[in-house]
Amino acid sequence: MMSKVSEDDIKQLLHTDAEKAFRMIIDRYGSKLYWHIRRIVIVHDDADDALQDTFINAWKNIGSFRNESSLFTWLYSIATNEALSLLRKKEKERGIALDDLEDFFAGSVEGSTWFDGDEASARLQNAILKLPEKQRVVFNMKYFNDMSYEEISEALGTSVGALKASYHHAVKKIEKYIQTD
Amino acid sequence: MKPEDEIKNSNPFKVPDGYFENLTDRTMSAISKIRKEEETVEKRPARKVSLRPYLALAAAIVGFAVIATVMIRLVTGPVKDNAGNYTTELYSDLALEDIDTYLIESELSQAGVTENPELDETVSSEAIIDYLLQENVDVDDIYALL
Repeated sequence: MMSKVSEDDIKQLLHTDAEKAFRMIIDRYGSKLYWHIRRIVIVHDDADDALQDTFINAWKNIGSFRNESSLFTWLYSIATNEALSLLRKKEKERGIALDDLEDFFAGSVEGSTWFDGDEASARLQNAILKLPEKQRVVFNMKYFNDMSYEEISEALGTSVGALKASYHHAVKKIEKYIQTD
Repeated sequence: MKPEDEIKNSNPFKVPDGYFENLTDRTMSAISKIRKEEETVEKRPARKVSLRPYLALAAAIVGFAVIATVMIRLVTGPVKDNAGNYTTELYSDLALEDIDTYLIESELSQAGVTENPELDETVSSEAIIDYLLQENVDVDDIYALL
């Protein structure tokens, strides 16, 4: 039923019944945003926290949302920031530098309560976790979420050229990791 | 399907049962809670908080003054003036109008002005006419009034 409601309809409804519109936003984008966040923070509880914070921040700042922008990319932008902020917070709490987080997560992915992948999936996830932060985010958005470079550019505020370079480097590193692992 | 597509389309992560079914309600509940907190903060009058200690201090001072006055009167009793009269008794029966009259009369007395019935009679009609003429009042009007 929700798929029949367009993004423009939701934008219009935001002006008249913000709560109802926001329910539609969560129904429509909640799952996609969760998986985007989950692939960055890996742990379910962290993903849930970041997702809640994403929607709360979106609610607080809905007044500053420009109607000509895409609601979808605006939410992705907030979700990405929340996910990365949570990673940095964890980094401080655990005293682990961000560059070394992949070692922490690499050990935790396969042992995670909520990980149910086969060996190939685990190897891919470990390879992704070896990537630098920016490349990891760009790779996830492009590869798993099928977002265009233009959409990623709007969400992350990075030029399309830089994004293409990041994705290219990410793919090369992942291929190398999987071949040598 | 290529092996890489299989990896892409397979999701290795799991979520608790019913997680997405409850997501909207849980999130809206969290937002509603925040909205209520924000409304409470907005409704709370900032000045009331800042004035509260001053109001308490003022109430304490007034209370102390009342208690102190009652205690002094109970301990000392009525006060005598220079003439040996009890001051509280002297003024207690007087209305405010009487006091005003007394004060005006005493001021006039101090200025040397006294009631003199003969003084009024010494002012003649001619003197009044002269005065009015000096004030440029029309003659016809003066005689009309007299």
